[in-house]
Amino acid sequence: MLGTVLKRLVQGIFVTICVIFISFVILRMIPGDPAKVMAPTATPEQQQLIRDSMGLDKSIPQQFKMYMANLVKGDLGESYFKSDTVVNVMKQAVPLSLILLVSAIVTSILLSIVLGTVAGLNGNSWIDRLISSIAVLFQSMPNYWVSSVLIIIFSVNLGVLPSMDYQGPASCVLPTVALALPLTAVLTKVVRSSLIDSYNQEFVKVAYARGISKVAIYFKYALRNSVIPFVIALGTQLGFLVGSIVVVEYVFNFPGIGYTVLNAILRRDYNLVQGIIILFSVFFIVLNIVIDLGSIRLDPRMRKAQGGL
Amino acid sequence: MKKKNKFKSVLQWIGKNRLFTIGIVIVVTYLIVGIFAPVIAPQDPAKANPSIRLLKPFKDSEHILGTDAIGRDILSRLIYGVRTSVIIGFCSVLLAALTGLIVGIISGLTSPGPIDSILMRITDVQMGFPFIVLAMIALTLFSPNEVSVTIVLSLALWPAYARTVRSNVIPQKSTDYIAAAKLMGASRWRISVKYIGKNLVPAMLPLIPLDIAGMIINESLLSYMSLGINPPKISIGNIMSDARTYIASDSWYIMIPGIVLIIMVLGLNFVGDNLQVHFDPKLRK
Amino acid sequence: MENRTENTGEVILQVKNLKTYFKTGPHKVVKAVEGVNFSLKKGRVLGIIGESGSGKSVTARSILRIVESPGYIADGEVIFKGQDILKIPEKEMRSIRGNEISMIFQDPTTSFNPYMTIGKQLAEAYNAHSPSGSEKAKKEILRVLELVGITNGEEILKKYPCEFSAGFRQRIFIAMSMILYPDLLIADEPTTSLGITIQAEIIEALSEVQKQTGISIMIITHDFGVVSQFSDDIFVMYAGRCVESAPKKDLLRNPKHPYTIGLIRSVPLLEARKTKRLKSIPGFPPDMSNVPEGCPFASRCEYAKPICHKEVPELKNVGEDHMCACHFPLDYDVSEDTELG
Repeated sequence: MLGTVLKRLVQGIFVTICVIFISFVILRMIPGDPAKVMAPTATPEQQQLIRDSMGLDKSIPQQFKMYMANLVKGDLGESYFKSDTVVNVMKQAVPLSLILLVSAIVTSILLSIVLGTVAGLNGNSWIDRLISSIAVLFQSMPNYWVSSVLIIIFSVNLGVLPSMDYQGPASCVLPTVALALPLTAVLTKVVRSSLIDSYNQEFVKVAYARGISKVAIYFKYALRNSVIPFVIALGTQLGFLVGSIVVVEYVFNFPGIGYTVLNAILRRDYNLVQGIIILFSVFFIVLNIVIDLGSIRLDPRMRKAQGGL
Repeated sequence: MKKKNKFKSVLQWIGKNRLFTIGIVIVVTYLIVGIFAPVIAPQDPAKANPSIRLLKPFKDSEHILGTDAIGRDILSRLIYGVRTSVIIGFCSVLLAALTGLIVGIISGLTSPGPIDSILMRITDVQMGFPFIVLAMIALTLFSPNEVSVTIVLSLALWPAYARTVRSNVIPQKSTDYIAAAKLMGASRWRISVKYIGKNLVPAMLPLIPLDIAGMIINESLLSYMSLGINPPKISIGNIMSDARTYIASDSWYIMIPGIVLIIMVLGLNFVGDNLQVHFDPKLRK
Repeated sequence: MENRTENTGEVILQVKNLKTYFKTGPHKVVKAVEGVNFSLKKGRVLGIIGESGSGKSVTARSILRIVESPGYIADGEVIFKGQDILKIPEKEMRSIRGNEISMIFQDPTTSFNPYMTIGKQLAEAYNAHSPSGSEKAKKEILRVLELVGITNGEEILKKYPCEFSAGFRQRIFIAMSMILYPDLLIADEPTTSLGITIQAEIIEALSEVQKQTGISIMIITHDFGVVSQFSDDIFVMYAGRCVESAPKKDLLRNPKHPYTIGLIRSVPLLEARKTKRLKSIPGFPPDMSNVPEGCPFASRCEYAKPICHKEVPELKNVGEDHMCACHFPLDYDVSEDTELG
């Protein structure tokens, strides 16, 4: 197990460095003089100052070396548009996005377990078909469109929830719903099919013959058996969720990390983009390691194959 | 008499595969609309008429789905938008599937080996990175247009195909019938094509409609954020982006293109889901 | 191992005219069990033998009422300790499963919950019907493990099922099914999926359990070797029906039904008598969704006469405690063909 962790960690670090390097090079290949793009009205001297501070006069390998040296110290440079350090900008944006992410995930997990159970336990009944059809429908809807519909219903027509900018916790509701709907749809399908699968497993049938109660069979046998596919699906979906968060934050003008990165890209705020890319890739790599290790930890059979805990 | 029987059995098959049939009908309809957009579109999608701006749908027989902020016919614009979606969706998946197929087969056949590890690390890097950020950066680097959007989309997708293909090739390599084929003197190339190909179809075919659906959504998303197909070219995404300004006053405007898009995606998902069930007996219940 | 209690003992389980059908289509019914009758006396071991598809497993599952859809019990009575358990509510039935009647299954690799430790599953079984303290549970668990010959019980409790061999898992499963000291144990092909030496060990463990607890056991198998080693009475099933039943010795020495004779003759002989050819029964069991008229065995029977193709023979007494469903019961000496008994 420890070996697996180490191997995945080394792989992860390697991938992160590659991502940093590639994005670093690409960002510097963007056509146009960043100093002019960033400060078009500034005097040539001021523009020169920007070039100097970014080290743009040096070669790309040199710039990369400088950047990595600072990165190790936890310094990601300055954001030119926010006139603050990249770390500080991220510190402000990340918690807001995390609120959306966590509340969307929690809502989806709870809802999908309930809906998936109702559908799975009544396989092929009308209620199963209804839930499954709605799930397919929500899976087919683009996030930004769902967001727009939510705005039309709750902000424009009912006027109960804010639709733009961050105005306190109420602003998190609609973006959370927009993120949670497609996620719930996917997870509901997973819960449904793996429950149906579980109830066909021999050990679940045997449990009936052993006189174990239906409730215990559901929780300890069938649902427990669905945990691994569920965790794997959740992990894959988290990847998509990070993409969705950019879009949803854009629609709601929600000042989280996605909105920040989009604006940073459009304004050629190199350091900020670079910083967020690192953040995203670290997130992805940690996520993948957690899923891998989680599924080993959750399945005694895999644990045995991996050699102990 | 015989013809009638055949017709009856076709009807029976449709009855058993209702969603698949609906999906196929939807996909084919959209394909035709996309391919023949210039013929089908009732109006010139670029012709503005400020005197009839933001005309509501189903009010004017000339503009069934209404007009946009500068009086252009929305139906015609959507027909052209579907054309963009269809072209980019199909091309990007085709490109990704082909790249993935080639890389996956090479990787699988040479596994374990240096080529395999290098290819797999490349896919690692690509899969370990959020698509949306990749796309945003790439599209600020190259000016966004149909070609660059297609390439960016397939860039994000091919590693998934490469992995699917590779994981199907590796176990096939050691199965007895491949060994038997080798003994019979079949060449490496022939083995890959004939035997492995046969087993790849069930693994890959259902992915294609599902991924086309995903790529169509991604394209519309990029265009919606002004990072994809930009005006004057037409995409469902940028039609919705135009509509965004009028979300409070003319809510219908953003709903219509969304519904057109969702029906297309649903059709593709029906086809993909049913193919998946068809090829995976475990799912057949 | 023979004649554990007198043949006159109290009847613990009586199955009367049991019929279990599977509705496989709008107009298609598979009659898996078609009017089975037998009884099991307290403290005795009943072996049910038959080819696969003869309905023996379905009979066992019908007794516990765990026949899966589209199967259903169409008719009959299952009288357990004086009560027809086909008629009691499901809730009461659940309190019988695992508590008064328990069952062990064919494949020990799939019958455990792979995600729970052995200890937890045993404790769950112990607490399923009357929750009690964990201390007491553990004591009982160790005791019951010892019963099946596992003396290092303490060590295995924290482990998962996947960490043990199939044979060992079956032992643990027997222990688990014995934890509440049920009155009846149904063993459904408990050795079929195991290797030949492990089979013997499991049978040994079962008979040890039987000896120490005096439990009544119903063992289902297609292997005459198993029943001849470990049962007091034998009941032969064919095409969902009972064809012959008798105390073991009687049945092995003096079988009356051509099918029983065929089965006995198809058991391989040991080295010394290998000159005798292994005789298998020609043909196949009938298609259960379309059983032909008359005796279901008629088409494979070398003694069949016209009446056999028309009338189903009734189960009649052909000797003391010896029943046979044949129009022309045979008097055939099988001692030349077998080493059983």
